[in-house]
Amino acid sequence: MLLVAPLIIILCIFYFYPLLKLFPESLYRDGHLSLENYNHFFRTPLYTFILFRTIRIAAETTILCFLLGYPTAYLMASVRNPRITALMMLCIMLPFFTSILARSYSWIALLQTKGFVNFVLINLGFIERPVRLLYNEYAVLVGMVHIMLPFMILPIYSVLRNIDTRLVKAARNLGANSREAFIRITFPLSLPGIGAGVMITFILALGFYITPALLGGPSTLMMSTLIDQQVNRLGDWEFAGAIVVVLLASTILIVSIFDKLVGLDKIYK
Amino acid sequence: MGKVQDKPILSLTNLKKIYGDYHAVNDVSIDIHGGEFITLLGPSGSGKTTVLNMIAGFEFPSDGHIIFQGQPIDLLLPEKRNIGMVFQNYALFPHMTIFDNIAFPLKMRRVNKAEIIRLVAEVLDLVELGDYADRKPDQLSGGQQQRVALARAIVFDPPLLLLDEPLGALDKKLREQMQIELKKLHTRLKKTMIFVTHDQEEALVLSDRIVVLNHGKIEQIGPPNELYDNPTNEFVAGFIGESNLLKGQVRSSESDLAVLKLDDGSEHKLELPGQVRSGDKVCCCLRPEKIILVDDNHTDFHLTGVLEDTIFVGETKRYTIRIGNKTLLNAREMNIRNKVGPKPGDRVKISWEPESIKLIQSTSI
Amino acid sequence: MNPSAPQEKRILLIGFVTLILFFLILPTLMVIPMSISETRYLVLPPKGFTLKWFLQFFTDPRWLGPTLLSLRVALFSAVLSVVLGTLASLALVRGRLPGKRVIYIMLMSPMMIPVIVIGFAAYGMFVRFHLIGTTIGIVLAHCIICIPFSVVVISANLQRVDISLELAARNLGASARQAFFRITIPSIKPGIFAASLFCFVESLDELIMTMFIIGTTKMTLPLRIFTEIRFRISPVIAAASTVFVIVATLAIVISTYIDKKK
Repeated sequence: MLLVAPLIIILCIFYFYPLLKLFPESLYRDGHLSLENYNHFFRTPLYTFILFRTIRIAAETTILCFLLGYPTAYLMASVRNPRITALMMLCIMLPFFTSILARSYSWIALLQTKGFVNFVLINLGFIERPVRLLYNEYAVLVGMVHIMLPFMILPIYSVLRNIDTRLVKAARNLGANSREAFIRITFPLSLPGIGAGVMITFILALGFYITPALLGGPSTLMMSTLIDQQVNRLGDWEFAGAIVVVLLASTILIVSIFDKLVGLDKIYK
Repeated sequence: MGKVQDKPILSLTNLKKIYGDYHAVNDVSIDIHGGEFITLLGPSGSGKTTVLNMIAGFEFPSDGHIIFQGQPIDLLLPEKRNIGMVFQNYALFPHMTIFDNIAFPLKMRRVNKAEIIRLVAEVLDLVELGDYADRKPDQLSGGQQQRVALARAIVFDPPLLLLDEPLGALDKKLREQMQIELKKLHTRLKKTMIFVTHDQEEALVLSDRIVVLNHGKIEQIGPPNELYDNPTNEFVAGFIGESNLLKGQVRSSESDLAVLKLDDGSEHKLELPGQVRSGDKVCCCLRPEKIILVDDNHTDFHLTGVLEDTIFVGETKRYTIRIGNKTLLNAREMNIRNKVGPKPGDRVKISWEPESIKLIQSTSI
Repeated sequence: MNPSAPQEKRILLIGFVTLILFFLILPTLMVIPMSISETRYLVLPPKGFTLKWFLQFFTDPRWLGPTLLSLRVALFSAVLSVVLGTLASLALVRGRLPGKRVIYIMLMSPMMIPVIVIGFAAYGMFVRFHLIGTTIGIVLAHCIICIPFSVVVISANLQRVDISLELAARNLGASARQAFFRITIPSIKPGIFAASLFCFVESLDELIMTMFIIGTTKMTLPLRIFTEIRFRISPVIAAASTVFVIVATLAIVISTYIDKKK
């Protein structure tokens, strides 16, 4: 018991207690107890729009990551040459360990008007003059998928790799063709990995700050960048507190839905 | 013994599987007849599982053919073969109930629902697991899982059943019990079964015929008693049962007595079966239980030696006897008479029935 | 495994995945040619070769200072997170404390809550303890973020260590302390290494907590890059990013080495 105590004390002071204080503190406006902050948030179409945009972008990121990540994990689990597996793993782990800032910077260089993507598009004859690719929702989405993809691939891969290959053989032997064997055996057995990947991606995307801040513009404000704007530009901590509570509440809601569906215990394993 | 029909149900002809320059299976030909219980026996790496995988369709032969019920199936998809298989560690689908596991092959064959329920119930009764239909595989004991795997493999009534070391994961007692059940099931269903194991005892108990494999090649095929009594080579002699091998060169041969110079340098006068000529290198196989220790005043003996060790094993006594310089023979004697046997260090004379000693092919020649 | 899987489908899958892997790796590696080309922006083919951006990165106090601070913070955070994480893992895996599941989920929760929420909430406390703008403050803030990783990795490792090893040590005459230092710690070494590495890399790249805690006098490397990207886009960022790619490569090499040793 004593062993866990130092950690618990530190976390209580600098983490749990402040988190618990968030909601009561968000109920003050100009020093008076009121619901004004929440009123302001939910009555202003722009803010509710930002909330829904955040959820929408997080969902789009998650879906794209799943569509790109599952085939990757599947192929990686089925490759039998350990060198190719290692090479694929490197392609996933190197971005995973590389600074998010560095990678966002790369995307800026790629997407800017004088950047690589425009260069290629012009040379291939798709466009005549450079297009503005940065500071919009697509840029944010591309950047976020790039950053979240390893979080989707890794849990799915680790589950797929541990599925006994004899199960698929057994299904084939019992009369299932390769598609049926995948649908009835491999896919259902990989669900825990999908659950973990989807949850991690969705949660991270929901509160993500760096990519929207750097690749997005004023038209792509998300919850996290909105909080930053309120605190650092407008200095309105009381209102920002309410936005933080809304973001926290949405996160907790989503985590508990996943807990019901998949079980958090499985995700940590 | 199963009924032996004229046409084999499954023929493997010159089957080969080559990975790079490694010959996992090298020129294997076997004809298997309807109703037969045939065992592929061999140590790990002998290619027995690869042969099974090629029959099931998980691997394609590099060369040779597989004819099943008169049709070549070398390149047929596994799901089109209609061959039942019980996997090592069973491969039960962990996310499905026992019912769904057993119903799986029927669903794949688009059997209607009522029929599925009927067939699954029937086969569950057969393996005495009627009450377990709604459980998941991990709620069952090893023996029960084994029976579910068996049920799943026979529910669609395949004419041929492959069993890949199905009893390997069970403890000894359960394994012996399952051997008996398997044998009963075979007699009852009259299905052709191909059983893979590395356990020679299991092979002897279960099989109509045994195929002994080593390094991807067939060493010998035959019924259990033939393999035991007449092994054709050193590998089979050593792999099936215990055996003593006397290896050496024939020095001289007169009528039925030959002088054999053993590899350890000692020379012995022996009666050898078959025709041997002076200069031949031979290998003789002698089963431990065929050796008789005779009294000192006995004159009808074949060899003399020194008793090195005696082990008491309950129903038998085991002797280790040194003949010549360092050749050791194992002998086994039923513990019937309460006679006082020779003690370690005593000189002993040993004898055997003339037909008990066999000349076999030595691998080291 | 499956000889009959239609070959065309497999080739299609391989092609698709190859594209995805390029999508992952190319933008990551692109900072390298950018950091050594003379032009301010990446043009194809890269023009010229220069190390001046690196030279500036390693000599300009505007870059060097934050880099040194970040390294120091990352080192302290890694050590602190791993020590606390190891102790907590021992209590959680070996101990018999009530409400283990709740404590575990509590320790894991910083991983699920947006960092901006944690940073915003914690700010007040850091102010009250006069930790704003101090190195120890930044280290503490980073630890909150790193702890879950440290606990996950180390407790997973500890779970795999057979408890009978410790019992055997006790049976052979070791005190509880000796058994801990001679048996338990050596057997979770790989986990401790992996956790340290992870926390180090995580702290080195941490931006959001830092933004709340840093005050006005100090600057970390991620914060320097962030402001530069926002206001200047100087090619030195490419050099700094290349340094991050090298750190990532080292991390992978080291963790592969640890895996192999296991």
